[in-house]
Amino acid sequence: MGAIVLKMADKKLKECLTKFERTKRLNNALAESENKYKSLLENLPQKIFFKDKNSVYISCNSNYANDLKIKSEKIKGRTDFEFYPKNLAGKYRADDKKVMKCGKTTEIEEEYIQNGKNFLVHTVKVPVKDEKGKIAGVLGIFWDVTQEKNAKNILKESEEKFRNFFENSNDAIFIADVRTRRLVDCNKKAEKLMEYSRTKILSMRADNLHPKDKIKETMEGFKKQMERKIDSLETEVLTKSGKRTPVSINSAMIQLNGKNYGMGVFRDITERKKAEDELKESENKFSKIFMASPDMIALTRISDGFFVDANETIKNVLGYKREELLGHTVKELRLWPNPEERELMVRAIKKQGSIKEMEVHLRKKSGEIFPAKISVDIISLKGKSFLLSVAHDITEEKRAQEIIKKEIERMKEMDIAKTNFLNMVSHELKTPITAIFAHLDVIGDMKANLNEQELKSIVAIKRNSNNLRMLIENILEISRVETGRFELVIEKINLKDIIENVINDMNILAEQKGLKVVSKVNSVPIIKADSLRIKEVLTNLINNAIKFTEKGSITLTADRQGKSVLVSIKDTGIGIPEDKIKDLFKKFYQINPEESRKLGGTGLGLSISKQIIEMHNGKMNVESILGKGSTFSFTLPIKQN
Amino acid sequence: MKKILYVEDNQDTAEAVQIILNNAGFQTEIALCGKDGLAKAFKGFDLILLDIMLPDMSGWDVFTKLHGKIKSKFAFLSAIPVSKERMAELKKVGISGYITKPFEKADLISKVKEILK
Repeated sequence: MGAIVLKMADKKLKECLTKFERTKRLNNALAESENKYKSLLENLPQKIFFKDKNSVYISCNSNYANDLKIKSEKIKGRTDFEFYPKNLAGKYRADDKKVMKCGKTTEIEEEYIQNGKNFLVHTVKVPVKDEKGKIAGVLGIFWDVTQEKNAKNILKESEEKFRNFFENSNDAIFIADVRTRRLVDCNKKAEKLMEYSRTKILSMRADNLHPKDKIKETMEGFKKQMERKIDSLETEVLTKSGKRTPVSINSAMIQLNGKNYGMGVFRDITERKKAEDELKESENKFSKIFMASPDMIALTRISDGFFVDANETIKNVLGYKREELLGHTVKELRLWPNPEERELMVRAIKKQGSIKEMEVHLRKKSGEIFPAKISVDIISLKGKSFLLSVAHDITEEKRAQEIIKKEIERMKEMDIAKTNFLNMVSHELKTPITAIFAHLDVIGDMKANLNEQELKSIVAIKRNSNNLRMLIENILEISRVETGRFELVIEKINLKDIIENVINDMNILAEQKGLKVVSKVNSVPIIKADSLRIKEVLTNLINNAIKFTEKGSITLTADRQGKSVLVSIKDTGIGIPEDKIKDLFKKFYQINPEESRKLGGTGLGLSISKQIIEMHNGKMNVESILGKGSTFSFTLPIKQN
Repeated sequence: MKKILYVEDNQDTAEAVQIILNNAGFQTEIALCGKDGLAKAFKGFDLILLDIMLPDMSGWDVFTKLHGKIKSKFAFLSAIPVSKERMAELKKVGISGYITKPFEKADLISKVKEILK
């Protein structure tokens, strides 16, 4: 029994010893491991921390403590709110909670502030459990990824930029395999340029983009451009519809996924080519205009007037041959008789860029000085400034101007001489009449708004104004005759034409009474008389005939009678009592004053007519039978003395 | 629209003529003396109608001061009638028309149209 007990005790002891040994070994191992672990934490480049379940720090490595500017042993019991702005600390705490709640390791990219600078950090947060398996806190490891992120962003951005440039470029872009020349990519503009779809283009080779006759030189051009031997390459592409479109190409070698590709940027230069052609054409035209212009055109140096070019007209006007001008200065040729005129001109050009039609004087080869008008512009040729001058001789223009000036003066003098009493009276009397007539016309334009009585009144005002006007005209004329100021303008006149003109005018009046004025004009010679006055007499006599004739006709005859022409106006009107005929030509005489007032006569018409005929050395006559009609006639000598 | 300047010292006449010409489709401005006319003349009128007897200067004076300096045409208005020969002489020195006062509306418009044709 004792032996058994002993055996058992020994066994237990051995077990205890073993257990103790094991525990001791285990403890040693643990201490060693903890040291290793601590040293690892301390030496890791990452920042590491432990927080309890309330996000209160338990410990951290010195790497992190350095950031917080504390010793690592001082972290215990502190929170993020003591180190970071409120919003950031709040976010860290919320993340801690999330990690603890879900119990899973979480990786976050987040903002971090150190020394007032912002960083981007990558954080790994691990939930920490106690021995019972309950969540007790959180372990965090984080490191700076700012630079890495920036580099990534830059790369991404640059890729995006390239894609953007590629797709939205105004130029067509093709990318081809350098070795096989097969096209591997193109943009929208490329589709538009070629009129092919992208799919179709990607099945083509770079050679297929160009017309056959351009392939060789284009491919050589590409090669040279890749080798940077040439800058620009101009060629043509052949579109789907067979159109040859001119393009300028810039190509370069690019690397994609480590492989070399050729990128060609094609610009459609149709418009530019067109403009170039137009410019060439315009230059040709300009050069023709330059040579053929009727104006003198010259190109000279600003500083000294050195002739660079000149047209043919200069030779014709100045008398210098082209070679005598070119290469010489205006000073050598003594072209400007007043050099200060040129200085003035150059000053004006420098100030305002150009001058238009400036009057100057120039000297011909013969020494003759003449006035000219000159227009000048500054033009630039190969970076140097020149004067482009266009000039023409204005001698004739000046002479004509002088003549006109003298003529204007003469006519003005004549008008001043005419400012005698009668003309002043005429002006003064006609001024109010003019205003009355003009305003009657203004009212006349508003006819639609007037009632019957208003219209009637206006007609009455107009009729009486007309009478007043005629009266004024006639009185003035009589006065002119009597004061000897009545002047005839004698010229050769065609009486037949004048008669026809007057009859045409008067028939408008006659037709209102159902009458007609007819003429029987035989061969009437050209006579010398004052056409306006003769017209006045004819108008007056026909007007009277119409006035006093109710039915029948008015006949006008004209015939040669010896050395005179006889003109008669015969009517079928009321006639004139025999005893009244002798007073007929007296001033203001009216056979029937009341009738006349109604018909609008001044009693001066016949008197003036008789005077006019007598001033022409003719005679006025009248024959009449009461109730049957009257015949007024006058003679005009064919030749005036 | 053609622009006309009418230089006339009688305001009643000037205003009525302005209405008549405007109704006929012109754009008319008036000046009541020679000085006023000279001041307005450079506004680019197609026609300048000048009354010969103005209070401060004659229509001729206005014309001589403007002749060759502006592109407008000129016509005189006067109570004194003009002969054909005289008209021909006037045309030679740059007077395109002559309208005798008083004038009828139709006559005025047709003469102005003729000058501006």
